[in-house]
This record gives sequence, structure tokens and C-alpha cells, in this order.
Amino acid sequence: MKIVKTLTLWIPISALLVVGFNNCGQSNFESSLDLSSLGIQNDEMDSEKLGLPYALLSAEQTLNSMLSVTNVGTANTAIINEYNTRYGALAGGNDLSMANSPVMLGSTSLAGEVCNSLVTAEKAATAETRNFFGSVDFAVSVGSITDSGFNSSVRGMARSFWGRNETADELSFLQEYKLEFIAALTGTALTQVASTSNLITATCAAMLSSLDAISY
Amino acid sequence: MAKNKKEIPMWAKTGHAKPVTRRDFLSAGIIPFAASIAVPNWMSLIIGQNANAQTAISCPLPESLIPFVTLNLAGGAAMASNYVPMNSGREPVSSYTKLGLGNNQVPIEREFGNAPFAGMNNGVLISKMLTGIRAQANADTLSKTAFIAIPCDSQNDTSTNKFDVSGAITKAGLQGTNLPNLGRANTRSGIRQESAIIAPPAPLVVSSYTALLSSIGYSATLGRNLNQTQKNSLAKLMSNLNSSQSRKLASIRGATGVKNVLDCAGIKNVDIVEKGASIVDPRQNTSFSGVWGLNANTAANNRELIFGSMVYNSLIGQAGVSNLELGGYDYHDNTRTTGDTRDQDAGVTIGRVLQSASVIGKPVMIYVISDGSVFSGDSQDRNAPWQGDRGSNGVAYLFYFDPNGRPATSDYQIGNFTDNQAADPAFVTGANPELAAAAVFANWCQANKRMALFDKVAGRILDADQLSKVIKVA
Repeated sequence: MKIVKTLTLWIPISALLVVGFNNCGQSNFESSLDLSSLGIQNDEMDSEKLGLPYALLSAEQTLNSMLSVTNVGTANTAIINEYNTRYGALAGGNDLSMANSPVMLGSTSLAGEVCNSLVTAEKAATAETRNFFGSVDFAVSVGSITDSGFNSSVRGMARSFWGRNETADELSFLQEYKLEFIAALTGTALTQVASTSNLITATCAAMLSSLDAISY
Repeated sequence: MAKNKKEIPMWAKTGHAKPVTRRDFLSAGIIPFAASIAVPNWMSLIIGQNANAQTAISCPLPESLIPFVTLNLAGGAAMASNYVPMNSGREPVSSYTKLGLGNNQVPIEREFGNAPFAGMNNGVLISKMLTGIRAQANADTLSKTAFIAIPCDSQNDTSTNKFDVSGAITKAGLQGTNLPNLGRANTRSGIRQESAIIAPPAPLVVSSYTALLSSIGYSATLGRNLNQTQKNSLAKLMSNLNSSQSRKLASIRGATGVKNVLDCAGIKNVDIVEKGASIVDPRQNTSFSGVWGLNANTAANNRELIFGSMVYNSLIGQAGVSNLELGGYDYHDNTRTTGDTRDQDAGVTIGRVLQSASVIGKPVMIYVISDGSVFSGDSQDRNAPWQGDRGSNGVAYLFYFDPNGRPATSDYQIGNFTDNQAADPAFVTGANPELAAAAVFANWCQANKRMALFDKVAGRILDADQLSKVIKVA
């Protein structure tokens, strides 16, 4: 009985001592990465090695995801051409830290083609049957797009592209973009109906290529 | 190379003697352990690991460091038959019959100061790489270039040799102002070589000039339908959205660096989109265009335009490391003709990079690597044909051009060849590509007069004694 009591006391203490003897060794409270044999500072950037619960979509996954969440389904020639042009810049793997400047610009440009296809399809449908832009009148110029109509489109895209509602910050950024987009139009461009499609396409591209849409 | 860690006791790994006394045990960690109990790290479970996480983004500023270009000759080039490797006394080895150069009286052509290359045979230069270099780099450029050879056994016909140093050099601070590292293959290094020391950030794969051009702007529908102001606003929107969405990483331990990478990429794009695509075009510099033979009509998939663009952007600091690659170096087809043609092509590329640095007035280091090498039949012929793979006689090259004059070096070779006509495996870099790469990185740090960068990035991969043997840049 005495032996059992002794073991009950010493086994946990022994375990703590083993864990604690780490003066020159790798701390058990630090990252689990072992670069110490090389003396390399442990500031790993690879999200996969870090074990982060997020990963970047590879080039192929990005395209498939974009086609899927927009219901575009099949890539047309313009999408394929842009994909081929940007392929080298898109992510070659799933490490989140691979999302460098060209990956982001490439993703947005590719998303622009997918969204162009989406907008074309939705414009051809009646407002009631559209999936994303039922609140947008593509027959009027961009200045006629109401805030509520724009916000409604944003909500639909957020739920489909991000799997959630947009945050207040995100909506604020998108509304700011809308204002800047319109302010940058001059002369006849301000009254052309094409500007409405351009704004919706660009907004769609931004949301479709933002971090939450190209990572999982 | 590395011993099984299980065979090494903890106390030995720390560099201390075996702990036997109470004081030894104290010094081995009992005090910090006690402290960790008294003021536990477990508090972090309550207050979180990122209580001090940065709220402002700190994007790294590019350092003023020597531009770096890698040329990978994929397939196993005859590097030891262009440069003539020497023994530890810097004398010829007993024979070069397996290296396609015959006996050890190989005619020598000195270049880059005193480096020995395979010289004249029947009035023709044996070293086709040197032939190619001399065809592109003028005498003034050559007179300002130093050369170091690194004999190193490497695996044949594989992309797994750890020769790439772009990760270490990027980590040391050489980063492009507008572009990331540039590469040619869709791999982490951008070439068919694995990373030594530390993996680099993802390079931009320059499959064509268009890929480089379009990488710094919006194209297709967005490129056509948005005016410049709207494109600038879109870049800002993307930066804001991504920064907002990357906040979820801030609460994850170890993810701050990744968050910074993402945020900084967005911030950089705002600047890049504003500047416009033409900033990457090497043809805005007439002298540079002349080196590579470029003009307005050069096709986007033209190799010289692709290589020239990569080198141009690295030299002017707009991109980080450029990793070039030439294929077709697995050329053991029982002739010397194919190999000589490829070697001269490699020399042309090396010469053009050197001359590019000269016309721009920037220093550059060029690191030439391959995967394995070739052998000839045991022949006295100084142009014996290549018969098969032989990685043991692999050699890497390091060229260092400085517009102010040839950089001083203490030697033209790191390590040595043996009478087996192979890299000496007893030398620290002789049989380990990663250590050879570390030696290259050490010389680059030394050239920058920033050896502290080596300690910071590569740690103890080479100890002080080994560093003293591999650093040849004065």
C-alpha cells in the first residue's frame, strides 16, 4: 500500500521533471519544429509545416472552386486562356505563405474571367431567376445601383464564396470601392450601362479571389 | 551523414559533459523548470499566445545586397571537364581519363584571374563553357570577375539534390521591391533542385515573358474594362479584404509570419498596380537589350527574353533571386558533340548574365549547378565522348562580378578532387550538396561583408573551422 502511495506521488513528479529538463534543449513550450540540429532560427513560414488549420488552394483547385461556387460550372475559352496565362503565378501547392503578390493578382484576374462569365449568364436571365444579382438592374448606368441592391449582391456572393455573411468591415471596403469606381468614371463612361456590369464583375472578382475564397 | 539522434544522449547534444552532480543537474535546467512552475507558461492558455501580436503590419524592406542568379543545368553537366579540378595542393590529379580530358597534362587556359579551364587542343578551346562565356562577356567584364569551383558529389538525374540557396539568400534580406524570386520550373525553388538550409518563399514561375508582364497587373476582362484608377482601387480593396480575412491567423500560434506575408503581398500589389507593367521590361535599357539580342518584336516565349527579363529584374533589385534553368544536360550519348553544344550554350548564358551586370553597373553572383555529371571511357582522348552518369565528379561554379574590379579571392576552388577523378568526400562540401550550397551562401555573405547573416540564417550548419576552409571571397 505504501508503495502504491509512493508511486502515486512520484510518477507525476517524475514526468514533470522530464518535461522540465530543457535548459539547453528545445523547450517543450516552443514550437515542435526541430531545426536545432542546424542551429537555424525557428521562424518557419510554411503553413503546412506549422500545422496551421488553413491551406491555400493550388492553381487547379482555385479554378475548380471558382467555377463551382459561382455555378459557372464549365470554363469557357476566355477562362482557360487566362488560367493558362496565370498558371505559373498561381499557387503550386497548399502552403498559405505561397500567397505572394503574383498569386493574388493572378487569382483576381482569373476570377475576373469567371465573374465575367457569371455576369453574362445572369444578365441573360430574368431578375427573379438570378442566383446572385437579382437586385441589380444591368440596363441602367452604374450610378443607379442602389446601396441595398449592391449590398444584397454582396451578401449572396459572401455566402457562396466564403460560406458566411460578410463582416461589417468587408462590406465597408466593398462600398468604398463602389464609390471610388464610380468616381473614377468620366464623361460618357458614367452613363454607359456597361459600367454597371464592370462594377459588378470587379466586385465579384475581388470577393472570389480574396483570401477566404482561395483558402480552406 | 547525420547520426541517429536516438544514439546521442541529451547531455551530449547540448555540448556539456554528462551531468553527475547536483550543480550539473541545476545547470541542465532545474532552475528554469522551477521558474516555469512558479510563473507558468500555462498562463498563455488563459491570456492567449498573441497578447503582444503586432497590430501594425511590418513588411520587410529590401536590403542592399549583391544580386544572385542561379543557373541549373538539368541532367548532369560535365562541369569537371570545362573547369579542370585540382587536388588539395592545387596540382593536377594523376589522370583525367574518365573526365574526357586524357592524361594529367591537360592544356590549361587561365581565366578569371588564375582559374584553370580545359585549354587549347589542336587550336580549339576544349572548354566550351569558357568559349560561350568569352563570346558574350567582353574582356573588361571578365577582368572584373572572380571564379570559385566547388567539387561536390551529387545524385544523377534527379531534382532532389539540395543545391538551391534562394531560400537562405531571401531570408538574409535579398528581396525584390516589386517581384518575388523568379524561377522557371513549377517547384518551390523554381528549378529542379531542392532547397538547401531553408525553403524559399514561392517564386514566380516565368514560363514566358507574358507571365512576368501580367504578374504585376490585372489582365483580360479586368485589364480591359477598368481604367487605371479603378485598377488601383481594386488593388486597395484586395489588400483590405485580405488583411481583414487574415486576422483569423493572428490568434494562431506561429502564424504571425504567414499573416505578414499575406498582408504585405496585398500592400505590395497596390504599389505594383499603380506603377504599371512596363517596369519589368528589360527593353527599356538599350545596352541591356543588346546583350540578350532583344527588340520590340522578340517573341514572348523567346528564351533570351525570358532569361534577360529575369536577370534584369534581379539586377535592378525589382526581383529577388533569379533561378534560371537549361535542360538537356543528361547528354551522355556516346558523342562529345551534344555535350559540347549544351556546354557552350550554358557558357553563353553565363556570359550574358555577367555582361548584363556590367552594362547595368551592378555586382552579381552566378551559381551554376547540375544534378550529377558524366564520365567518358578511360581514354587518353582530350575530347572523349560521354558514356554515362557519374555524380562523383560533380562540380558547381560560383562567378562573382564587381563593376569596380575583380573581387579578391584566396583560392579558386573549395575542397579538392582525388586521384579517383572525383570530388574528395572527406572534405566538408565534397559529398553533400546542401553543405556545398551553404559554402556558396557563406561566400555571398562574405562578399556582402555581412557574415552575421550567415549565423542568422544558416546557424551552425558549418562550424567556424569549416567556414574558414570554404570561404574564399576575401
